[in-house]
Amino acid sequence: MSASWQRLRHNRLSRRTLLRASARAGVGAAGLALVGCGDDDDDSQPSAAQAQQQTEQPQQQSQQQTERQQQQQTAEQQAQQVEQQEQSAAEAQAQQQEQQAAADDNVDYNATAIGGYGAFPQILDQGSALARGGQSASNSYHYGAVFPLDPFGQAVTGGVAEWEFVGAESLIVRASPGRTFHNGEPITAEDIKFTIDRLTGKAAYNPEYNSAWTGELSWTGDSELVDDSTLRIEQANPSVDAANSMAVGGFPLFPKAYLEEAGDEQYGQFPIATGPFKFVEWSPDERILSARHDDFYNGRDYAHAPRLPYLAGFEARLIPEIGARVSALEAGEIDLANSIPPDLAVPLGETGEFNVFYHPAQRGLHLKLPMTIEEDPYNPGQPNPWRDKRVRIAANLAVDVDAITENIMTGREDYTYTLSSGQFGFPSELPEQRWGYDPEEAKRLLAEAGYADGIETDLLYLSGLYTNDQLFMEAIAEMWREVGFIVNLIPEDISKFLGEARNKELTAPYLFPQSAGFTSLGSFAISVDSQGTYEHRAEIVSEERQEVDRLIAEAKTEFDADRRQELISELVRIHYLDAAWVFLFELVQTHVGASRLHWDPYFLQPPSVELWNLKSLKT
Amino acid sequence: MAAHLIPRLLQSLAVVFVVVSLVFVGSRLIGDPIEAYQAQNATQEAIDAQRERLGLLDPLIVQYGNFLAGVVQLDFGDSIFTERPALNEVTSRLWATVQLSIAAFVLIIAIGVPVGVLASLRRGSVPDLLARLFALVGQAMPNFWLGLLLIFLFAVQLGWLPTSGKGGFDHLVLPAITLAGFGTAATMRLTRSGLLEVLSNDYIRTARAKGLSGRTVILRHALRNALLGLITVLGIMLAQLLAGSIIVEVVFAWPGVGRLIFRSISLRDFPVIQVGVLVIALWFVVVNILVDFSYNFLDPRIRVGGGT
Repeated sequence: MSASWQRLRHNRLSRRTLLRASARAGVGAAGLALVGCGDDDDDSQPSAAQAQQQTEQPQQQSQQQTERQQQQQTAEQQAQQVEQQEQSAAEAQAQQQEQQAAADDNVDYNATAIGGYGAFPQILDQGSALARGGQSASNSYHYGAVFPLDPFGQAVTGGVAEWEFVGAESLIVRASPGRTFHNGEPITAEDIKFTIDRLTGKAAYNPEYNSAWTGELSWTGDSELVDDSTLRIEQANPSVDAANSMAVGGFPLFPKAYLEEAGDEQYGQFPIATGPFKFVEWSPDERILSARHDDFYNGRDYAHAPRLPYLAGFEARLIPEIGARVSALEAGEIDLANSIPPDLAVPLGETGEFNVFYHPAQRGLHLKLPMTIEEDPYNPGQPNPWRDKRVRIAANLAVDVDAITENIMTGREDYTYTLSSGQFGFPSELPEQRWGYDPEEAKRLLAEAGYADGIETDLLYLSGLYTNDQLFMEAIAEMWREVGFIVNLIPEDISKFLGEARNKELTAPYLFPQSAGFTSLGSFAISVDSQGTYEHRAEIVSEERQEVDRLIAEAKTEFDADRRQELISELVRIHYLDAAWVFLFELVQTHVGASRLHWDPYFLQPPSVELWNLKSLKT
Repeated sequence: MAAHLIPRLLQSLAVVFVVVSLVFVGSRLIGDPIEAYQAQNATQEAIDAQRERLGLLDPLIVQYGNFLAGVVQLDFGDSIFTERPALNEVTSRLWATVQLSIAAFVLIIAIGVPVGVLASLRRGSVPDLLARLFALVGQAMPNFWLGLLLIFLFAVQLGWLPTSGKGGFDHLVLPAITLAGFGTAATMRLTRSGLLEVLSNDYIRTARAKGLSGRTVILRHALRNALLGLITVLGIMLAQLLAGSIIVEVVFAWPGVGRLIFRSISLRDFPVIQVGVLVIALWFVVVNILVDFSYNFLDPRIRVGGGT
């Protein structure tokens, strides 16, 4: 089992290595060409000074000639190497294409599939805050964003529209011709403007629309149609993530004419969108039927995602109970059982009749620490112990994350460092400085900080929100107890908990996810940035956190990608080494499919099974 | 009759009022729906706007007054999530739950009563022992567990029936058996014990002494008297089936009111919870009134409105 994910990762790394090699080869070739040009120029048009020098110093000339010959030899060798690299890259690419073609020959393009899901959205309007939960059962494949994404989840120009930043002031979006909604109507710049307006509460037909995307689109100001195909969106709060926010999975693009005519309620029942699958019909508590959008603008050979699906149709069935979902799969009633705990999924995979699909769940779990409070709630008059960095480091050193992932989770979870290794800006050397598992050092640090007798604290979490959460939280509590924390583990109610977390009223460490579903900076805005929704204010916490805030602010408006990457790397490094949180692991999602279903994930962190990328094999 | 009916109806209305009021308060205690569904990065302004739109910023007493005023007009408000009338949300799923409840009730009577009679007549025999074992297991086993076992056996292993969902008659079989499990066992035990008690009475001995056939003694004298106590229990059971379908509907993905209430509780969809519970409370009240009046026909000694 682990081999498959390891192989997958290995393949990805190989692909990335190949890409890097190709890039290096390209740069090398260009460099050699420039050197070569220089030499030619020198030979063909020597300057007077050079000619005089050559006349006056024949020995030196001879030496230079030898050196030049050596350089030429080296250059030739390098050119040969580059040529070989290019050749092997081309061969590998051809081989990959051949394999892909052979694999595609085995794909049944007329096949449909049935998936079992634990939850459905209440309505199918992806823009609405009311459509919470169950997105992967419907909205995530009905809706196509404005821009496509690369495997790292970064927006790429193309798809429905091209984009161009005009400094930090505005974003120009040009609708590409020939793109259509599911009802065949062309996608225009006016539709994109209407979408932005609707999602930011500016649409004239209903300014009170309850949008789920106000946070992502907080950068937007006024927008105006430059011409039929061009839209200019002012950046009220300049952000390099502006294009990303319109590309993230499930970003909805609405057809203005249809929606204004149908109204919000009707649209929520029968959405017309732009995604790779089009909605056919649904019975809210039973099934959602969808068909391939054959006119989808990104073909199967398109470089980015999403693309034209392989499946001709898909039916999502609502089967809330996990055991019943597994039974439906075993009985052949469904082809794909979503979100199956590993203890059920692994035995099914071992029968050879099913494929187990694993992927990171875009949730980096960590314990947020109560930095806002001045005093220790258990010892009034005493300072808040969590403001002492030694205590925070001790809390990290006390937790054996690897043991938890190996024994309680799937064993495929990666340790989280604020960002995960697949994300833009991840500092590659940071794993060398990881807070390992060292309970003795944790005890020593606590004693050094003046807490040799231990620190009493509650530990809060939302029970039942994540697979095995009660188990791993009990494990963490026990590990903390072993080094001297006196822990009261408390499961919380979601609405009370989130309200208190939002208002920074929680006085104890609590489990929280760092979502990778947003762009890196977008997710920082929620919980790393101390001005964010759930983070504690930097000015009362530490200088390090203030520096993190400053770097986030700088990165948000840094349009040079390399520089932005440096800024993000630096802030992640500071945040991690400051032990701002207790860093845990990234959740892995597990699904089980019939043996005929094949899925090779495109994204490094797919939000769910990529239905557009799911193949039904003939044999 | 009317003299008894009117106070009984008034009593029932009082019960419904108390239940509805408790549900109103209880649903407010389980948390804030806005926090439960807002996006992580929703702004505080957006959250406050939602609270205001739903009237959640009003004092609780004002919300309660608005709610009661709505109930009188059969306006229970809209579902917070679908924004459709909560009453429609419930009634559109009611038939599925009623179907399931009726099927389960038929099973309870069709299996529980005859097996109970058989067990009492063959007291101490192998059929009696088996029936008592069945009753013990049926009452001890949680219905979600029974449901999963039935799915595994009849759908996965034997492939005779579908695992879940709503479709033809075959989709109804497993959820109905699961829902009926506890009730069938209870009915069987009650029938058995009730009949055993009646069979030991003097009038049964007298009937036998008069030379009546065993069949006549059982059906016309013993069972009719034993049924009196059973009717009350069956009535409560019929009412409970509607409420008890929640777990069965979740396990079998049955699109009924039970699952709607379950989901609405997790989403804190107050209006739907209130209507759902109100429907169940009304169902209980109606069934109880019907049970009361059924005594009149089963036992002439009990005169509705006229004492014994």
